[in-house]
Parts: sequence; C-alpha cells; structure tokens
Amino acid sequence: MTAFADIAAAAEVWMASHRPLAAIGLTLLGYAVGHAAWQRSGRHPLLNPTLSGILLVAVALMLLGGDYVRYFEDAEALHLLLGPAVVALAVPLYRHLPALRARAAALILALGVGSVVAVVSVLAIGAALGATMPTLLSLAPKSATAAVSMAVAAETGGIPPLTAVVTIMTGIATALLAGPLLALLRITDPIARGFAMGLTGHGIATARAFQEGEATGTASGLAMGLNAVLTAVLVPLVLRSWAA
Amino acid sequence: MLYAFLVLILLQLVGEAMREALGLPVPGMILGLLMLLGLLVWRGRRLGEQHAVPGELDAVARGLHAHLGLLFVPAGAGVLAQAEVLAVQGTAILAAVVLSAAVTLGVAARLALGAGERPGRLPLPADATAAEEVRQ
Repeated sequence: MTAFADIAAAAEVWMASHRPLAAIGLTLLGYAVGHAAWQRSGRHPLLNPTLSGILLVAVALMLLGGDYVRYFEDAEALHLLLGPAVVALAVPLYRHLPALRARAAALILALGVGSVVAVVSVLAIGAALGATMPTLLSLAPKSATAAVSMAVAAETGGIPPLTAVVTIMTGIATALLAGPLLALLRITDPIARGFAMGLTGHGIATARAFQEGEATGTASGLAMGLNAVLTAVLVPLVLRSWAA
Repeated sequence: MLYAFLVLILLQLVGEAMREALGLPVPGMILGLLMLLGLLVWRGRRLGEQHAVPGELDAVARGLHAHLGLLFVPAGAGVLAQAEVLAVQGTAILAAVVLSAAVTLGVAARLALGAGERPGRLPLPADATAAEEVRQ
C-alpha cells in the first residue's frame, strides 16, 4: 500500500512536468484502442472509436485521479486542430460540388425540414417527458455544432454548460444510430446518409460519416455547416412562436 | 504540409475576425471553410482545371479527416466534467436527445434522397452491412 502510494506520488511529480504530452498521449492511446476494436469487430457501428476514446480517457482519469478540466486544458492542442480540419472540409466539398449541385433541391428541402424537426422534436419529446423550461431551452439547438448551440442557448435563456453536454450526446447518439437506422430505412445513397448525419449530429457524426467514405463525409460536413447557420436563425423563431 | 497548414490556420483566423467584426452567428472555422471553397473554385476557373486541388492541401485534408473522431475526444471527455448537470431530469434529457436524433436522421435522410429516388438502390456501405448482419 505504501509502496503503491510512493509510486503514485513519484508518478505525480513526473506527470506534473509532462502533463500536456501525457494528456495527448492518453487521448491518442484511448482513440487507437477504440479504433482497433472497431476494425476488429468488422466495423461494428456501436463500437464508435470516438465514444470508446472518450470512455477510455474518462476511466483512465478516474483511476489516475486526474480531473477533466485540467485534462482538457492539457489536451487542447488536439482540440484546436478541429478548426483547420473544418476549414479543410472545403477540399472534398470542392471535389464533390457537381454531385451535390445536382441534388441541390432535395438537399435544401432536407436541410429546411430536418432543421425544424431537430428543434421541434426535442422540444416536444422533452416537454412530454416533463423537462422544465430552462432544460428545454438548453436542448433546442443541440443538433448544431457546439460553438453555435452554446451561443444560441446563452442568447435564448438556456444553460450553456448543459447545452454543451447535450450537444456532445446528440453527436454520439447520431453516430451510433446512423448505421442501424439508415439500414432499416434502406437508405444506401452516400450523399443522403452523410447529409442526414451531419445535419443531426454535427462534427462527431461527420467523423462517423467519413468512416463510410469521402462522399458520405463530405455531405455530412456540408450539412453540419448549413445547419449551424440555420439553427442560429431558427431556434429563436421557433421558441418565440412556441411560447406564444 | 507547411503551406497547407498555414492556409488553413490563416483562413480560420480571418473567419474568426470576420465573425467578431460583423457579429455573425457562424463560427469562424465555417467562414474559413466557405472562403477556402471560394478560393478553390476561383483557382479551378483560372487554371481551367475543374475540381483539381493542390496535392499538398489534399494530403493534409485527407490526413485530418481520416481520424476526425480523434479530435472530438478531448471535448467529449472534458464534457464529462459537467455531467452533474444531468443529475436533474437526466433520463428525460437522454430520451429526448436519442429519440429526436432518430427522427431527425430518418426525415433528413429520406428527403435528401430526393423525391424521384427510391431507397435501397445502392448496396449498403460496410458499416451498415455489419449492422444488418448483427440483426440477422
């Protein structure tokens, strides 16, 4: 027991000077294990590597006694790469522009209706299950990317930290549901699959969509970007008419 | 690699500056995406090479998107720190999020397919096929 405490104390001293490196290493390790498990399972949709990575990091932090806030600060270099990764979505988007243009009418309809359904369905289901007003306001923008959903929640009287949690949960739920649900509906077209994933579950679902190929991932990235803009405009309008 | 990253980061910074200056409700990275798309379209027209992308930029984009899911792990694990917000109404929130995601996915996918298209024209991708096999 004392020996263990000694080792833990020594590890803590060593870690203190290598925290960012250790946090990034832990993140890569968790994701790599999740990714390997997903590959070995024959790419099973429920073994999502992002979710596995998050859970493995959480378990490691619990065992090592680290706290999440400090972990996030230490691993921020990886988080910052999301910016260039989103800007770089322009590259596959440019390549798939003709295919997407040919489907413009259907995609615009899917965007408009899908965005309304994302907001109204969560309000209706939440209200039916007895969620209170601040909770409902926090849930409304959950399909938009976290930067937008949190800003919308702050503006409309929701609780931004709760919105952050439900936004991540929505991305993960979408990533897990997409495979089985779209198979059930027999929707095999990559653009339709990807567009629905990005609209519903933003970046986390877009990562899931890229697992199916570039066309699916690109359609997802496009829908994520468009729904970020539309959700910012739509949520205040829906809430106004809903309250009236 | 060097120039591609420089372009991506500069465009995101310009996007952030535009968002702040104009008070736009869109994240700077999405404005950066739109600017890069505009630049690629302009370059393609000028060079007469439609849909060709500079090799270096293409390689960096592919690298970033191959493991996009990795970049969401810090935010996802960081959010667990705030999971106590789910202590109240957690079940209702979880149910609302999952059911709403399912309904939205289904509606958006069916509409994105287009009115003239019928489901199931193409074979299912590998992931979806795996789901099918599990069910059978």
